[in-house]
Amino acid sequence: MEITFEVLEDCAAQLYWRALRVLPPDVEKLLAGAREREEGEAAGIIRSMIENSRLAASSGNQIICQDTGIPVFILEIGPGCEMACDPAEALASGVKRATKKHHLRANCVSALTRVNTRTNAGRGYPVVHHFTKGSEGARITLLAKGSGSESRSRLAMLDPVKGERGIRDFVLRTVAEGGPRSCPPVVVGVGIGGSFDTVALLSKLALARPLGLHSPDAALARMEGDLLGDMNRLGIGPMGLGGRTTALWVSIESADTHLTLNPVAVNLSCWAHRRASARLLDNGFELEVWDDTG
Amino acid sequence: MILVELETPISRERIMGLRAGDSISLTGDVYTMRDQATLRLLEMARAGEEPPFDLSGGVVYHAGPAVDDSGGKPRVASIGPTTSARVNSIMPEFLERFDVRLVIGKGGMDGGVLEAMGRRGCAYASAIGGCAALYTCSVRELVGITWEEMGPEAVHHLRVERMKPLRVTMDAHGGSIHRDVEEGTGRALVQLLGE
Repeated sequence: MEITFEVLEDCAAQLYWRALRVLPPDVEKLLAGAREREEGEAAGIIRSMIENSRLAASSGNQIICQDTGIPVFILEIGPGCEMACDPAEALASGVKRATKKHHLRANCVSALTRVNTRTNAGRGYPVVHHFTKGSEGARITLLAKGSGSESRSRLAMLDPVKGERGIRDFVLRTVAEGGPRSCPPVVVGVGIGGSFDTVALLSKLALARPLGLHSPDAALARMEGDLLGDMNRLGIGPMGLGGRTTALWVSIESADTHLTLNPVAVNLSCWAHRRASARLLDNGFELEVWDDTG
Repeated sequence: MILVELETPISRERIMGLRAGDSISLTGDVYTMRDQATLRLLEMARAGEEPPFDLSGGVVYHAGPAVDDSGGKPRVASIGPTTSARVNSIMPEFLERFDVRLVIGKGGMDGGVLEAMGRRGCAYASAIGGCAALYTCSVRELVGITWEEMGPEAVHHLRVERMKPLRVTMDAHGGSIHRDVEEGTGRALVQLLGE
């Protein structure tokens, strides 16, 4: 299978527009659960979040949040797929096209001069992570990653003697300090292990996982459950105005690390945890529709 | 729950009648402002220059909308609140220099701003982050854009009708839901870290 510029560009444009309009069903299901647990104003805020998302999905021209986020593409390319273009260029072109067509807010600026490119594309923007995989076919996942929560994300190179306890404390501290600014209830991606660069990537990949399904690793699954329970004792609540639901879900991805290292990365995502994915086909693609079991 | 209907210009008395926890619905003129525009306006005032629009009795909305200017009169394509805390350090002076009655944003502001709001007769209302579809529907007109070259950071003069959901989370009497929640979270964190 040959992956052409035109297919990737078109796929990127459609993924971006879909992610901005349609809240994934796994997120809505967790919000609905939170609405049942909450009462008073906190329940009212969750109701508004659900109402807003349904309005965006049905209106045809409204998006969930005016912050169209930083687009993060995850490409998984299997054997037999040949890349006939520069994928970063094709994906950026698709993002530009969607930005222009749908009058999306342009967020991409120079890191130093802060000059806006006005296209949602620029140097190293959108973010593209490119992987090879063992199984046939090719897949693209897009996170339209909200910036309020991205800016409250943290990474630490802890001392190994701090162990799992140190990791747990750092994650809880990060969520507490993220407070209202990360637009809770948050989805929390945690990376553990690896090196300075891979631990951040692991936390992002954790956010790309379906919600509601724990890690297949029993120790990580237990940690995910414990962390979620602890976060929801912080009392931050929807939009930081108090309540039982500070986090909707926690996913952890882990890699082995050096004996001197204990890296942990916490990537927070706002309640509007927007993402979409597609399978690439011969001369085309197919958007994946997720059911609530992922 | 009481829903207070507010219309601009808002009197000081109306603001003094609000308490943290009240829900409001807003009709009238609002000006969007992010960090850069807030600073620019402040620098003009410091230099003794007249601001290009009148904020007396007015509403500042911490937001950076997307504008559709593809045909005819520009319109707001999408708008919702942004984080207010980014202007914590300059907001007390801003409130001293401009007679703003209501600030809308998300996440709340710090003790220094709360104190200035009490002194000046101003309240803070929280909009729900990520709910652009709901808030965009309440925008009736994009009246004008000042400093258009700043893109989403420009000041957008909007006319809104029954804008909601909005909830007063900082009042002019020293009440702040943000402070109360933050204190509770601090205690909960200490307990969790000590377990």
